[in-house]
Amino acid sequence: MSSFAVADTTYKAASRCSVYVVHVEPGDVEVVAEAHQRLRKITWDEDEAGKLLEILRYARFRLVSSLVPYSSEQLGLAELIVGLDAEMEFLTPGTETHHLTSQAREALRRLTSSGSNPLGEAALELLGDVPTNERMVAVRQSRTVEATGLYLTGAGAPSQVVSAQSLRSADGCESLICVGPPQFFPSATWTASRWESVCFIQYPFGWRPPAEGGAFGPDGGLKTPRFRESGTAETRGEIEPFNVSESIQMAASSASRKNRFTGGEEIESFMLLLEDGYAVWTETDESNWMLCIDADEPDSPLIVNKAASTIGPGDYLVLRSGTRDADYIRELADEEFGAAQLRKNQARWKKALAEAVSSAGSVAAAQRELRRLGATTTNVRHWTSEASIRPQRYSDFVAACRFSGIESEAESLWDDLGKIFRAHLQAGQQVRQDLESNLLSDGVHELVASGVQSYTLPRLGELAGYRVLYRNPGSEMISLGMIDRPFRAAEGGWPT
Amino acid sequence: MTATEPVLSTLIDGNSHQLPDWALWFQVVGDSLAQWDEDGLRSWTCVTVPTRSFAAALAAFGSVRFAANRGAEDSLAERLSTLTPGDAVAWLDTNGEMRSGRFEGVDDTYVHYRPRNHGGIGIATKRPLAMAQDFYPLEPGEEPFAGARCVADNERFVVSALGVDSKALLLRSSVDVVICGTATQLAEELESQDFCSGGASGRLMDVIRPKRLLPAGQRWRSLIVTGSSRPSDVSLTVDPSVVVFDGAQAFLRLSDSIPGKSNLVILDRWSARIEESVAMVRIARNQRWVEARPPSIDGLPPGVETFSWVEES
Repeated sequence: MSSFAVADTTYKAASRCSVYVVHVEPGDVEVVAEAHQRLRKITWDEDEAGKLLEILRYARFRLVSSLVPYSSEQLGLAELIVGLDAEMEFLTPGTETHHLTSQAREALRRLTSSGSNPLGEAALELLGDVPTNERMVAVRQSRTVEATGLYLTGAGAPSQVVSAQSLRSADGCESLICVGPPQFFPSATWTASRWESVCFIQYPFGWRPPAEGGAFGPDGGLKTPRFRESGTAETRGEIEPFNVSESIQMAASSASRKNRFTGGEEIESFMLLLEDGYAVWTETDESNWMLCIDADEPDSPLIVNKAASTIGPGDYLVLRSGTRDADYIRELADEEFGAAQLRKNQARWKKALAEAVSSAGSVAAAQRELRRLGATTTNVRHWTSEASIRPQRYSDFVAACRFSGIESEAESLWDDLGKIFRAHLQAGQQVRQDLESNLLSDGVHELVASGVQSYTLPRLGELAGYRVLYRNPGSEMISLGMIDRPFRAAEGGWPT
Repeated sequence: MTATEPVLSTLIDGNSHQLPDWALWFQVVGDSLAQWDEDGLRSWTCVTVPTRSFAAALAAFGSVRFAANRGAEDSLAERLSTLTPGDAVAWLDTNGEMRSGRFEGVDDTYVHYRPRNHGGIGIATKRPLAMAQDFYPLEPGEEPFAGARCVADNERFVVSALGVDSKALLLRSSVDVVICGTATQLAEELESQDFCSGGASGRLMDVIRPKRLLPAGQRWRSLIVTGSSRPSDVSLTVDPSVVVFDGAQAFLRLSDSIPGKSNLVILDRWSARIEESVAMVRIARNQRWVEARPPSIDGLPPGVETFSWVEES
């Protein structure tokens, strides 16, 4: 088929595609999901139940995104049950946390022992109506692609199976079945579909269908995508690699203990192990985005902005390596994009909030009060931190201002903080352009070969690209001055 | 001729097919952008599409077609009035040969122009204008060149697709449109797909004629700037009337370096950089827009989204 004909087929598919959601009866999966949700709500201090929540989050994610029987070794649910057993030893019997954890553990045991596979059964029903060469199944994680293919073949419905990431380059066909909610897949899956029909198989909790306003908002003119059914509630999950070298896990755990920089303002952070024995602490908050190098084509590298929560092994981070402030975006935003003159307003609302939190008696009490005032997220520690500009939602900001006694200034402060936010975006863009100019002249062959490459930029001084080797689970309160500042934590490099 | 007139059809497996709506729409977009001309202002039109294939090429075709027709409207007398002695000019002699030299002045006796010969080409200096078919001044910095037959490849196709004499394309070079994107992909689209017009077949390359893809010495109508070009490579001596940024990478890297009078940004929804690009588009719009009307583009095809603004240039 000529490339013009392929393009024409793509436009036709995008305009005719039917998108729908099939809800599957959740049974015990809902018990696990609800236990996780409930524990998130009742645990004010995640340090206490961090590991527990993490295990339940992984369990929930694997249950809602996999098309293989829950007894399958590839899912690793048995290991998570062992992890829950260990965590329960630290819980006090009779508490709600103990009760919920116990419920979730028993539900997981039932699911694994019965080998149930509700999503798989629903998929087989749908696949039966479509010719073999016209159907495709997409799963969230690439590491489950092979197991999913084997399961479908074994069940008499051989199909092409792809990961969510590789959908970008997949050819179109009649029917695409996505395992999990739409949020697990690129938005182009339904806004610029290459398939005549796209079906999302999911449990009826946890995710709403995405808004259909299009990339530029409701006035952009994109009218075609639609969902025939809708889900409920909202939350998100991240993915954890299934198999990681035990020696690097131990090294990371040790490095994390030995390098807990404290003092001054502290923020919740996690550690990334970098090539050549380096490590870095970075903030856990969802608003933390970091510049990375896309080195897939070393002759023509790209600079991309990634949410810190999605950074993992194989990514290349760009960090300041000299003695200047590690937050080079803030520095540039102040110096070149006019953010400096607005910082006093940023400091004023943070001070008011910090004083209100202090008056409330504790962070937990402040969070309860903020929820009562209408906030949907209450990341008070982050909001009062210098590293944050403002909450993501205006309603949360208004609640925080009301709580801090500066409600009358909420609108003007929000505008000023928005300007700072935009200055940071512009600064990030400027840095990206500067880096690309620099990287383009040399390529990133050294970075790919050795895992570390240094750069010197006129405005920003010394920077370096580092390959990420491992992301240490869990988080610590770390001094703000050490955030995003790489340091050598293992002479001679990390174990492999 | 109007932009919406389906002058092209696709030729697939030897059969002619009417141009689909989305392809016709991009042609209209290119035409509309080329028409838009407001003093001191610059327009931006951003579109998200299910696939970028052929979008930039067809928009460029619309821009080139508009520019070619606009050029044809200039009378010989108007063009003559812009010349001063010593200017480099190219003209067609009565045998269809393209010649060039330096303009000396007007001979009232014969009412003709006398180009002084350069480069040893046999040119009759007393030939009346009526004997020469047409002439154009060369671009600044462009030197007179050796003579050549002034016949386009696929001339019937070019004449029908553009609605003007093909010689207008070959007498002089111009930059009707700048396309920022991946050169190999654009080359493939321009050179591999057959189109039909006026009963003749040809390729978009025959009319868009990017300098980068032509043999040395040929006249061009457009420039291709690749996403990996350095800023110094993309500094242009002309202020392009239309610039097409084909893809997020081209937009993010080059939009500051070579903005045109009218700019088209084509973003593939499947691109890994779509979100970053959309964020930058929104920021640019919010910070720079002024109250003026962007080019009017109707008839949005399904699956395509637009976002436009006008800013001070």
